[in-house]
Amino acid sequence: MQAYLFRRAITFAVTVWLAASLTFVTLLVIPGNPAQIILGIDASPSAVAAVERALGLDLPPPVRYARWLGDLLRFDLGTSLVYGVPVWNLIAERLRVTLPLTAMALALAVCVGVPLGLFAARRRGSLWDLATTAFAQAGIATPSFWLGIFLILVFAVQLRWLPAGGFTPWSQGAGRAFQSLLLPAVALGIARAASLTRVVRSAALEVLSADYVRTARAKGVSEAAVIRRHVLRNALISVATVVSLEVAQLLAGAIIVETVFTLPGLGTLVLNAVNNRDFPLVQGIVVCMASVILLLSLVTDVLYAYLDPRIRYS
Amino acid sequence: MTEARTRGGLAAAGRRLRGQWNLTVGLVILLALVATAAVSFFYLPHDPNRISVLNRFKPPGEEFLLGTDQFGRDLLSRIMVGSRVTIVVGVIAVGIGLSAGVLLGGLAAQYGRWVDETLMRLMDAVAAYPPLLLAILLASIMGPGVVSGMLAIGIATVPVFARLVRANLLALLDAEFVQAARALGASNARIFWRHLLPNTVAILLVQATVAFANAILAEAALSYLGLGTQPPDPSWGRMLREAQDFLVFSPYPALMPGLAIAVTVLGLNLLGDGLRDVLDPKTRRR
Repeated sequence: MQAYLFRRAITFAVTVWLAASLTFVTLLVIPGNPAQIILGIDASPSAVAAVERALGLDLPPPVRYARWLGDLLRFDLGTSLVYGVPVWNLIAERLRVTLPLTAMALALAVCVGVPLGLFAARRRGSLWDLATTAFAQAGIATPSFWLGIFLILVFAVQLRWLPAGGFTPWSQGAGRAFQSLLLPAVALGIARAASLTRVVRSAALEVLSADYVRTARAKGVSEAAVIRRHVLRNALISVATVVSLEVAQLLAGAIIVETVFTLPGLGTLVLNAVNNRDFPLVQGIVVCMASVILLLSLVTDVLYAYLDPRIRYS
Repeated sequence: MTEARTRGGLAAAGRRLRGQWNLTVGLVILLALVATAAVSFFYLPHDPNRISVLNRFKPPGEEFLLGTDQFGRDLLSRIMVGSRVTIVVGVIAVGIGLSAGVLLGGLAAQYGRWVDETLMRLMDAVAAYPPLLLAILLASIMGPGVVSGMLAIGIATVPVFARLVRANLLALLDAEFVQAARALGASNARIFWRHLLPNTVAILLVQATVAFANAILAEAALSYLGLGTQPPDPSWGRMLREAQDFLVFSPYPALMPGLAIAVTVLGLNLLGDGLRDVLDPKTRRR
């Protein structure tokens, strides 16, 4: 197990390094000079040169890469060109919106997807199964931003139950902050719930037709115990494996949903950064998100190995 | 004898096709999409970009089948023109993902060792970028537009295809018919093109269908964010974004393009599921 963990950690480090380097290289080939962008078109060449020196842009690319990588190793993502504060601070601030949003959407996906998938598998071939499958297909095909728009129309504009957009900071009351994240979390989570329903249904069907379930039933084990002890436990393994993929989808989806609901999260931050050509900020957010996604897949692999004793660590 | 066997084969294929309602529905939706785009070159009910204040926010009716938007433009005509973008982006993005994926996955499987290790770690690194994030990064470099969108969605699809091809080829490389070909002195390239690739076509077709659906969703999202198709060209995602601010006046300008996206993606996903059931007898119907 330790050898497995060690090798998996090495692969993780290499992949993160590759992903970060990809970002650096893409931003290196950008036409347009960041110094010029900061100062505007009217800036004098000498002023531009001064800013270039201050940002280290006059150095050859390999030196800049080495510096950037060195900073990255010390978790220093640089300073935003537009905001003038460390990128890390901006990300940390926006995570207060994006993190709870993703967590709420994930909770919705698991709470809806797992029971619904089990339910459909138990009643395979029935009308209920058909309805669940139809919900899953429709949920996957529905764009989150489209769903979000209509959630706003119904629950904010017509019923006036929840805010149509914007975010009340946690400091001004957790209840109101929660309320402003509720509709976005539903818009974000439904598609994930739908895809999880399919995974759980298919996994549960496989377990239900397994020999050990037949044996358990033949021994007279009650149906509830069969579901709890065999079906649910084995289906959860497949849930654990897809959850990291689902979180990656949620993080990407948050970029759009935050735009629909004008939430001050990581997604709107990165979009603004692109529009402002704030390269250190774009770079920082992209590297951050990619690392989180890679870290999740590492955790899943390790968790998977723990959950399923059949997996060998070789 | 031959005839009987053929009929028996056909009947078996027919039996497998029957009850394949998802394949049928998916195919119908895909054909409808292609037909819509094709017809849009010859016939449109109205000029998709003509602004008419008098016709603002018309609900669906006789003159405007799906209603009009905030500028009085015909929604049906705009959706018809938008379907072209959808198809082009989908086809090109999947084309990029498929060709690069087959190449890289093939190289990794056939050469193994450090080639395999390097390419697959690179694929892991690319896969760590959600397509949308990659598109945002590219849009910041190349400027927003359809091309950077297609490229980003295409690149983001490469790892899936590469991993799929690699995994399937690794299983095939041990097969007797491949070893026989190798023993007869066939080159790596010949083995790849004549023996390995034809045996992965079915799996790739299924994956391509699903990737097509995902590309359409990604393109719509990019256009919604203003990073895809630029105005005044209609695209489904853009139409949604523009309609959002006028939701209280009329829901139709937002409803219709969203419906077009959802139905198209649904159709392609159904088609993918159906193809998987038909092409791969190993998967039981679930």
